[in-house]
Amino acid sequence: MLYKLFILRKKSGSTLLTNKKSMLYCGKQTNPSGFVCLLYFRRYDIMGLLNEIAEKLLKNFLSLKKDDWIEWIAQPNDWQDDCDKFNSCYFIVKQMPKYPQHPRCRCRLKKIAEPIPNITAKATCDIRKFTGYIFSDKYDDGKKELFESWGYTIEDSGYLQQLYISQAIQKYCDGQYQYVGVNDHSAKISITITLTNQNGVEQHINTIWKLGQKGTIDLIAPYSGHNY
Amino acid sequence: MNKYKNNALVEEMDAIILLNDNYADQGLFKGYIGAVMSNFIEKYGFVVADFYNPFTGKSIQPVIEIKKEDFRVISGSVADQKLVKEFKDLFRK
Repeated sequence: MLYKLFILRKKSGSTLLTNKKSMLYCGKQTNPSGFVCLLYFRRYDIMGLLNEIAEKLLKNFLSLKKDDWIEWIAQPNDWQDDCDKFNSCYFIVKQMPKYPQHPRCRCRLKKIAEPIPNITAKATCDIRKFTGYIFSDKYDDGKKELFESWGYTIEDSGYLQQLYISQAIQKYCDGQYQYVGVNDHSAKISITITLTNQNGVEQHINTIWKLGQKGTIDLIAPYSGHNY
Repeated sequence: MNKYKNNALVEEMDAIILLNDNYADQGLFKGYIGAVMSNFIEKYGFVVADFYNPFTGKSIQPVIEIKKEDFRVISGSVADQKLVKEFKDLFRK
C-alpha cells in the first residue's frame, strides 16, 4: 500500500510569523503586572522541534511501529536534494533516516513485510576486502596482526567472506543494525559481526555496509573498530 | 582547514570524487565517486577506497589506492550534489 504525505508542509516557515532573519515570533504573553512579553525563538530551534513533531505525526499517520519495515520511495525533483540515495532501500522504522528529509520532500514510504535472508534481502562481500585489504602486507595499520592474533590468515578469506555474509544478512533482516547516516552518495549501516578466536573467545567487531536497492547490502569496511 | 580543502583530513566512509583518468585502466574515470575505507595519506600519500555501481552495489574496485592529488571530498553543496547525480546517471538504466 502506498501512502502520500502532505501534512505540515504549510507550517514550515509560512504559518508561523517571521519577523527577524534568524528568529521566529511565536506570540505574546501579558503577565499580571501588565508587561507584555514577546516570545521569540531561534529559527533552528523551532524548525528542529517542528521536524521532530512532523516526523512523529507522519509515522503515526502511517501507523508505523518501530519494528515495521518500509521501502523508501524517492521522487524525482528539480532541487538536487539527492534523496534518491535512499530510493528503494529497506529500513526498519527504528533505524531509518529522518523522514521527511527536508521541507517539500516528496519521498514516500511503503510498508513492506520483514525481509527474508537470501529471498527478499541479499548481502554481498567481495573477497578482496580480506585478501587485498585486511590481510594485505602493504598497510601498516594493525588490522592484519589483529585478525592473525585471532587465528585467521589470508587463507581464511573465503571463510570470513561467507561468515560476514551469513551473519550480516541475518542481522539486517532481524533489524539488528544501526543506521549510521549517509556520505552524500549512499546510506550506510553498521552491523556487528562476531568472530570466534582460536581460544574460543568471541570478538564483536563493527562493519560498515552500504544499503542498496531492494534489500541488498554490500560490505564497505570489514573492520571499523571493536564493539565491546 | 577542513577535509574539503585538505585531503589529508579525509575520514573513513567519506565520499570522494576522482579528478582525473589516472585509474582508467582499472575501470575508474574522472567523476567516479567512491567511499574511503582507510586514510593513509600521512604514511603513504594515498587513501584506500571502494568504488561500486551506485545502483546494483556491484564492485568496480572494492579496494584501490587513490593518491591524494587525484581526488577531493564530496561536500553537500548543490554543485557537488549535481556531480553525484551525474555519476549516478552513468549507471542509471
